[in-house]
Amino acid sequence: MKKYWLFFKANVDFYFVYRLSFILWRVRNILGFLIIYFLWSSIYSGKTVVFNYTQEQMITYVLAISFTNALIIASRTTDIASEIVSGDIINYLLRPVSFFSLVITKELADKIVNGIAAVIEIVLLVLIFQPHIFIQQNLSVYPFVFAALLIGAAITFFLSLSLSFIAFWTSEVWAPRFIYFVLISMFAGTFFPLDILPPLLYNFLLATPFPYLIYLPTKIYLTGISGDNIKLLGIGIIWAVVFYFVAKKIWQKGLMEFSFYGK
Amino acid sequence: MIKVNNLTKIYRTPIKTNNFLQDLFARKYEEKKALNNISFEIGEDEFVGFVGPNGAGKTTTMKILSGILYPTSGNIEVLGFTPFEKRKEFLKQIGFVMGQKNQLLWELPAIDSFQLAKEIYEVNDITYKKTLNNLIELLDAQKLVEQPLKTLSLGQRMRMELIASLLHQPKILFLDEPTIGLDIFAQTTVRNFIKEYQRMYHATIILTSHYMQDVQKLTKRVILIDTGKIIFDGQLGDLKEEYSDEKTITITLERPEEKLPDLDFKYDYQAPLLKINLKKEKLNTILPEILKKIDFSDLTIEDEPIEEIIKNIFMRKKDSPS
Amino acid sequence: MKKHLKIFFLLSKYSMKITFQYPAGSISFLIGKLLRFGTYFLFVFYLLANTKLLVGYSMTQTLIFFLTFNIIDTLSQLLFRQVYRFRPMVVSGELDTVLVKPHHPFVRILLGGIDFLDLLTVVFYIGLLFFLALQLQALSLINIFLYLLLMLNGLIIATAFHIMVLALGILTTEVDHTIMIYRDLNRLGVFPIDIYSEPIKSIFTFVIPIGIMVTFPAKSLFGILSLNLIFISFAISFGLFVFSMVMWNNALKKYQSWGG
Repeated sequence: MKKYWLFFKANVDFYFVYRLSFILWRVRNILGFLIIYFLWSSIYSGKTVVFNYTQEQMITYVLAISFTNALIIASRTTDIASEIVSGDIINYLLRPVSFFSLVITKELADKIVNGIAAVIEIVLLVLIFQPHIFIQQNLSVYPFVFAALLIGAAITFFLSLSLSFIAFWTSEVWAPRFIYFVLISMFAGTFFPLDILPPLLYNFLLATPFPYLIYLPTKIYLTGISGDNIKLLGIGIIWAVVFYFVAKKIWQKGLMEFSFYGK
Repeated sequence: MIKVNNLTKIYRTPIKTNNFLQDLFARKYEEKKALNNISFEIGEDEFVGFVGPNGAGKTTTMKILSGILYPTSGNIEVLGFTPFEKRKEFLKQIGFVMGQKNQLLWELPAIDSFQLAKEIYEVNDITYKKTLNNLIELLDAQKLVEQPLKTLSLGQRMRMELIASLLHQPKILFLDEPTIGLDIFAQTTVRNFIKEYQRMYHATIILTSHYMQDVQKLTKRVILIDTGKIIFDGQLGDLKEEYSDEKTITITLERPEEKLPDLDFKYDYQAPLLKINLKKEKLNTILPEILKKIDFSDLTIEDEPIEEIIKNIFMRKKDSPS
Repeated sequence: MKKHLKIFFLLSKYSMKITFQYPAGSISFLIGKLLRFGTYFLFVFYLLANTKLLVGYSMTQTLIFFLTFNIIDTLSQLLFRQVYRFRPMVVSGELDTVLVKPHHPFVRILLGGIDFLDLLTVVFYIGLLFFLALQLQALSLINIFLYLLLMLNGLIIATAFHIMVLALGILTTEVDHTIMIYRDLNRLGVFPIDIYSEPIKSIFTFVIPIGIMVTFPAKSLFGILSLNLIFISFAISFGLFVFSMVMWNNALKKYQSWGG
């Protein structure tokens, strides 16, 4: 257990050593926030309700995205692809540690540091722009939000891991990764709450894994516990389990395929 | 062709403090003198070896001579140009091969990179074909030029690098560690090629290498550099003359089973070989003694190997307070 | 000049050759790009179909802003793709081998990797733009001319930004992804810069001239950009370009050639 703690610490330290890189990474996230925030702010000028969302709800949604982005979308599992291509992954495989425990430890370190940074940013942004935001008063909603966040993080973790494992077969790993990012940026709800879309499209998206990454946790925070939301949580769990098995299968097959053609 | 006067180069590396804001806005630098006020000249058709330990300033000197780095102070004139200005007429007359760096297009066969070099250096079709064929033949590389570069071994790639840097027949050629990382066969190929090339094209060549073999077999003049200063500049033979007064006598005993007679000098005995390290001027006294007391089947007297001489120079430097 | 063109065409040919070596990857990228563009486009369409106006601009106008952004963004990616590979070149020392060549280094490190996939997408965007522009009322020749002129001006600003990214790649050892920071800054212009409140709007118009680069051309097409602002745009792009060149030359002097 101690070695994982040390590994965790080393990963947290990493952000402090390369703090300029880290700060600029956070600045990039804030720039992304500015676009969406001002887009919606200008859409609401002179209106109170757009697509069944009040301005207060929409701005809260947009702020929450900064947080869920840091916690769910950003994943260090992306690095694994280049570690496989270069052959460096052997360093993990030959040591008396569990590869998956290391990956999860690294992921945790990343999410904690970025999550804290995102909370600080949100507080600052609220102080600067002073928007009206919606605070969920019903405390019993929070465990459900937490559960949804966990499910979202699990789906991206296993999905992103599977994409990195493609590197066992080919060094052309960037194209699938690019498509993955495109799909997330469009269909996970990073720009707008998905239920403003026409019902047909919305229902179609619910059958894909993407809405459970960002849209669902934020939606539960905004609208509380309802039969619909519980049902969506259930679908999210199914997706997480599916991708868990997909990642596991690809990993096992990939190891057999592994030829160290990198070095 | 090359004139360097009082050249100094200082590298600045940022020091990280614990104060983040200071790091960002009022950064502190550590200064390191890579070259300390050096001067030398190199003439036409010369073959010069830069020798010195890691970080001595050999590569830095070459990079300043070729215009890659900006000198902190001093006058540098190469072929009548100031290198850092990177005038086209200047760059067209030099070539630079770096052992650890790749100038060729990784995804494509070397022949595509050669075509590119042809356009870059504005070599006309006839000269290009002639030079290319000649170089390919010298390096025995007919098949390699058509294969994607990434499929070649390090030694094969170095041969391609050499061709690409020589297609325009540079007047001055910089070779920075051209044999680094190569196996002994590839090293020999490269070394023989360079020798042959110099003979055919009469370029001025400046070489750095960690392998003294390269320097010894290729260059006549060596410039020893240590911690940014030139500590020797002259013929390799003079270097031996000036710095080496040690000889090694190696004797193969005729009857190693017998006990050694008492000898008046220090020796190292591992049957059947007897080794004696001695000062040059002692030869006169020790040789007769050997002839008198020892029966041998073979006897050789050797100079100290060049590696040893140079190692000793650098060691001595370090010991003496400067 | 003629020599540089020859080198440029040869490098572009090689770049195309490499693209064809990875057909599956290339097609996936193309599909990804079109997918991203398509969904954004439909989102803007859907949004404006419901709200009618965005800071006073109609749906057609908002889409023209969006397309203008995409065309300038894609053109600069098409031309300057090699900038994305510059940091590894510095770190590995490959830059040394570029600097000793008798050509301007930009022909290699700025323009040396033309991206042919973007050529396909940009043609598609231009076609769409043409179609949308025809829907505008009061489309005048002089406005079209100004639009093209300001597009060119925008490309000069984009060039300057890319040169600055190159210079930063030499000057700083700590930041690897300067180009991505530029991309994120640039994205602020995906909607008309007027959506931002002051002082953000002024900062991203005049200090970091994203607005001049991607919003002003469309404004001139609608005939709502004052002559003063047009002149200021040219002055700023000229200033920025000079600044980027000074920065680049300064970076070359500070270059320490680490990879060795």
